[in-house]
Amino acid sequence: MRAPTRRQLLASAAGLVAVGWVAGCSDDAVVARTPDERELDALAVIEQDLAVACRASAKRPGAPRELLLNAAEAHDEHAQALVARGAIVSAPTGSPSPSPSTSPSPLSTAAIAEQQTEAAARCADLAVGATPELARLLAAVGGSDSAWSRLIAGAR
Amino acid sequence: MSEVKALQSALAGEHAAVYGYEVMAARSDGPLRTRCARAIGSHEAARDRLIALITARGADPVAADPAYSVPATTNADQVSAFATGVEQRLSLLYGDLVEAATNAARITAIGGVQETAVAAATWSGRAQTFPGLEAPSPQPGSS
Repeated sequence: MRAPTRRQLLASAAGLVAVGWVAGCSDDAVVARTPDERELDALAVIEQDLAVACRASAKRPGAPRELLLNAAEAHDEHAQALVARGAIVSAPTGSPSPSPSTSPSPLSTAAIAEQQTEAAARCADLAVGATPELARLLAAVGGSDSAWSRLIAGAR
Repeated sequence: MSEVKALQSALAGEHAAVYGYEVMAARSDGPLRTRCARAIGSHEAARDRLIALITARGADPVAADPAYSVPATTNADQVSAFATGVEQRLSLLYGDLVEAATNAARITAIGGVQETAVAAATWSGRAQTFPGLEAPSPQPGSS
């Protein structure tokens, strides 16, 4: 059986959140979430997964280890900040997810940089219609993701 | 803060950035001068976008000051530290604008946070965790 791609895993993790596979959260509460709230949930999951991916990639021979570990910390903080603003994730931020959302093999730095750029674009899209305070946070997370993407892409 | 006030603050920041990079370009040569020249172009474009938004709201865009305080720099590290500070301060101004603005101005502001965050990281080799939200970290050699 082929291992699922990271994109499939991410979609799966976001879907699990949407249908109520959330520790400590009732099905009703999750199903009642608006599309924007679900997008916020998905972003928090993406940030968690980026942290895991950066740490795994840091173990690859020749990888820019310190850069990737610093990026992982930033992604953890992003996920925690999104949860503090109401995002629902399937595992505590800052710890490995119990969902199967970790990649079976470490991503290349190029793939991580690409994922960070995609995450930044999602942050920007969601920020446009968000409340002022959440919009500022999303802009900050997106800005940071873009900056890490540039640094990691440049370190290859 | 009102949207127009936040736009004016961001514009004032862009005026200062253009001036600062012009000084740094004049003091530099080679690749560093080229980087400063690129930054001037980027911030002039951002300045013009803000002027258009302010004008569209029926306000007079704030003018640039005749001069700005720029630290003495004698090497590339000091120029990088100065540039990092410029970009991080601008990130904060754009962060204010994200909060104060809606629609087109907010989209511009979100782009401003991203562009300045990337520029600051490129100059310093480090990325802020929450650019536009957190105070800039002190840079070695910055004043």
